[in-house]
Amino acid sequence: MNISLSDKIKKEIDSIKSKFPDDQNKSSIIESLLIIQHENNGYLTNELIESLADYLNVQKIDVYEVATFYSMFSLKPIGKNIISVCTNVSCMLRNSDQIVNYIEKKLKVKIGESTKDNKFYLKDEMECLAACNGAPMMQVNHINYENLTYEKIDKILDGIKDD
Amino acid sequence: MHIYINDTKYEVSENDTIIQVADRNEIHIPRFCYHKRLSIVASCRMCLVDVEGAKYPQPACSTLVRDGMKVNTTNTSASQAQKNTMEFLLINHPLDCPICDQAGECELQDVSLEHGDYKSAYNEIKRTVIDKDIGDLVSTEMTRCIHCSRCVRFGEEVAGIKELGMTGRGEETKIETFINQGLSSQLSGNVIDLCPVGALNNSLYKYSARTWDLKQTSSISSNDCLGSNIFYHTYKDEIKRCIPKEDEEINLSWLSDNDRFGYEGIKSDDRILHPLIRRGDNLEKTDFNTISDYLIESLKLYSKKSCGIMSAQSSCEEMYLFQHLLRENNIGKIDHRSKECDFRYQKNFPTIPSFDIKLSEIKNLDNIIIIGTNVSKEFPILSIYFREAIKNNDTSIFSFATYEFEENFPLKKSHVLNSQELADCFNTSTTETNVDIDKTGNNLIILGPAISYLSNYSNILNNISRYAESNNMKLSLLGDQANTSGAWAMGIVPHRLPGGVAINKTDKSGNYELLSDTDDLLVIYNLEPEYDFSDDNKILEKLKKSKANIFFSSYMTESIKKYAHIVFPLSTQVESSGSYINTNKKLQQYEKIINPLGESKDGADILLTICNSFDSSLTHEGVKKSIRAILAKINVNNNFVQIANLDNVKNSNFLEKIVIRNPNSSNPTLRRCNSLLNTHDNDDYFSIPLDKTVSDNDKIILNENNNKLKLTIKQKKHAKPINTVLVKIGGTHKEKIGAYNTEVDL
Repeated sequence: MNISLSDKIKKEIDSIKSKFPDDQNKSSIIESLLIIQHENNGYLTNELIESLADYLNVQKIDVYEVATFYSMFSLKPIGKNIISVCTNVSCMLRNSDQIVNYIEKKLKVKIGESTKDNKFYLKDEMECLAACNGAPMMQVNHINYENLTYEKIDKILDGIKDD
Repeated sequence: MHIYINDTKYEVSENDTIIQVADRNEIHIPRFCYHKRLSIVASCRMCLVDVEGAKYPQPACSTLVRDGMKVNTTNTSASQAQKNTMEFLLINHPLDCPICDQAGECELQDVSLEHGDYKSAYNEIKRTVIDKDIGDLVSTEMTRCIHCSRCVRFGEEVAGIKELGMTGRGEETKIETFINQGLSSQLSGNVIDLCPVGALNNSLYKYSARTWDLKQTSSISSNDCLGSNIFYHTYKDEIKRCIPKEDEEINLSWLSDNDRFGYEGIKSDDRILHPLIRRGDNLEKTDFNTISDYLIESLKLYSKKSCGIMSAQSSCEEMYLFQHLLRENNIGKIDHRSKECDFRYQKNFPTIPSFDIKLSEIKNLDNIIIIGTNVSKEFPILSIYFREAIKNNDTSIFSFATYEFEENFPLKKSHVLNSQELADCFNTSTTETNVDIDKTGNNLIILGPAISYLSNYSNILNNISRYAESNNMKLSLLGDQANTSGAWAMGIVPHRLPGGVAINKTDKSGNYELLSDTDDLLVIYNLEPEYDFSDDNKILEKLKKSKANIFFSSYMTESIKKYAHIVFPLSTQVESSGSYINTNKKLQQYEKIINPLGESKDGADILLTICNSFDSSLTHEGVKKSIRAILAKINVNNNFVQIANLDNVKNSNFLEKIVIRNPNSSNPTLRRCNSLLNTHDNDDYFSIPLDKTVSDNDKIILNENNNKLKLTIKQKKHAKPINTVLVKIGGTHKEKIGAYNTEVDL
């Protein structure tokens, strides 16, 4: 089964391709996957991987390797809003583990899972997000929130509306 | 330039790595990811050695030599590094050697014994990986994988199609295909040899023997004209597996899947195990004397309207004796070209067709024109050389064929043409040809075996030869079978004796037809009427009418059961000894690997016994000597076939049927190798011109010469030449195919 990519995505992929030599389409895989994932509610499917491989004229396994390697790609459906809590050393020293626990309890999910209403996804294996000065920190939908407290978390997460 | 390894001085050249110098001088350095024919990744860290002046041990596979460099492979620093690497590699490797097929030839086992420690500091749980289904040929045991990535690099660099990949990260890293797709490369079996542990295994060999019990015998492949060198491993007179024998001139370290797994068919249920003779409607068991007498009687009785057709998969010895026997009895109509229908070229054909250049010279070519062959399917080993040429010399490769296919190397341009267009395309006398290449370079034209099935083969040969000669190109002719070159040299053609000596009295090459004037006696040697003849209707018709049908065959088929008067049970190639002449005119001997099944016998033995009843001076040794003498005398400079006054045979307004050659069922044994047939695309498919609207599973009826052929459409998405119906034959197909290349009505 082969889903064809939308013209808009194709156009964006073409502009990525133009940055690399003609015979090195493999270089465009990561950026293209990010675009496709963004358009597909934050996750990739095998069909999308196949379509990209066809479009870039690379082997399917080449794309699949990239998609499984990076934690920024998800191969299964996830919640709409992505919460990434940094648990690297600076944040850990500032009690990021408790922050994760608190969010887990609040949303009734384990790390790496999405809420039942599909509103939130608590991301697994989050490495340093380069905001150690504001530890503990998290990213919600790619926006940084620093010096977290439980109240602050409540305010941020409750402030996200269903749409 | 020189370096010191373990205090001994060695001469080196500039681009050598430490491991290359060590390998050349037989100094052992342990390794997993390094392989001499693959790129260097230095990921396993097993080959760490101590280099004087370097702070840490260096990987021998990726460290280039420097003048005066002092390397130590065994001192404390090196051996401690090796010990540590080994400990890490064994963290997740299961200790299941007692049930592992690789045990006894396992690189991990050997290196662990030599360089490892007896205890491990790791007390946690080992990881397990779920096995993948990647086809019928390669079985997996992925928990054993140590992630050396040889199999991944092989697909990418040698086979030209990356099917296995390394997915996931860290502890989750796995070797797998994209969502459990099966391997489709015709070279897929090589990953079994490359795997240093027991993760990728040979499905046919799995759990059937222990490596230390196996007996190794060298042999020659019987499935294509390259003549790959192989080793068979046997246990208790049974073939357990087949592996490549290193040969720098032909198959390097590799083997095609047909060669590796192509022995499976010999155990087929329809093997003929006894001499058979017709009694009423049945074939009954008898003895060799009875059928030999029958054959001799028939030869005497029907010498005039008789014909002997032999497979070009037979050995030179069988060929020599076959033509000797028939010609002694005044039967001149001898041929191996059962799949051809146009013979007008034969007088001008080279005494021995060949590839003309050494395979190792392919990498220096500028342009290669491939005509009528899907190289990566039909000659997988050759495709490795083409990939090397592209890498080495940026060679441009062009393809001209009657159907569209994929190659595992990039094609500069591919043309899909019908048979008339194919001939016109190289016609030098008309306008400028359609081939747009630089004619000053070092160029080669390769003609595939399927072109010989076409009814205007002579026109194509003539035009291409003239084109090649006028443009200073070489011409290579690839044979249909393992010993096609041998068949021409040994006189398995009606107009030439062994050595290419022309026979004048049967000079009918202008209107020669394989089966005409043969109403009395048909001797069919190692060919199956249903699958091996260019027109199955015609041969079956002949068999019905002929007075004596004599078969030499390893396998029973419907038509043999129905029409044979006597059947000699032939042993298969692995059960006989003999020699093949490969496409480079190299005579290669092979020995008997296992004893023949039942009462079946080596064809050369059967034929010699019969010949001795006329001529007692013949011996096996004598025959071998004659073959060598014949070959030594042959002197062929090129493969050009130029024919004067040749008419066009086609009117391109008619609908033309073209049969696609399927390498996976090109000889009787391969047709019975089920694992191979299941893995590699063997679907019978039929497709018709684009302007006709049909869908899959539609039935079409083709009218040809009063015969109606019913075919079920299985369209493939590919370009088709105009006015053609393409038919692909696969396995032991049930439907009749009719003539290979002819005009039809839909």
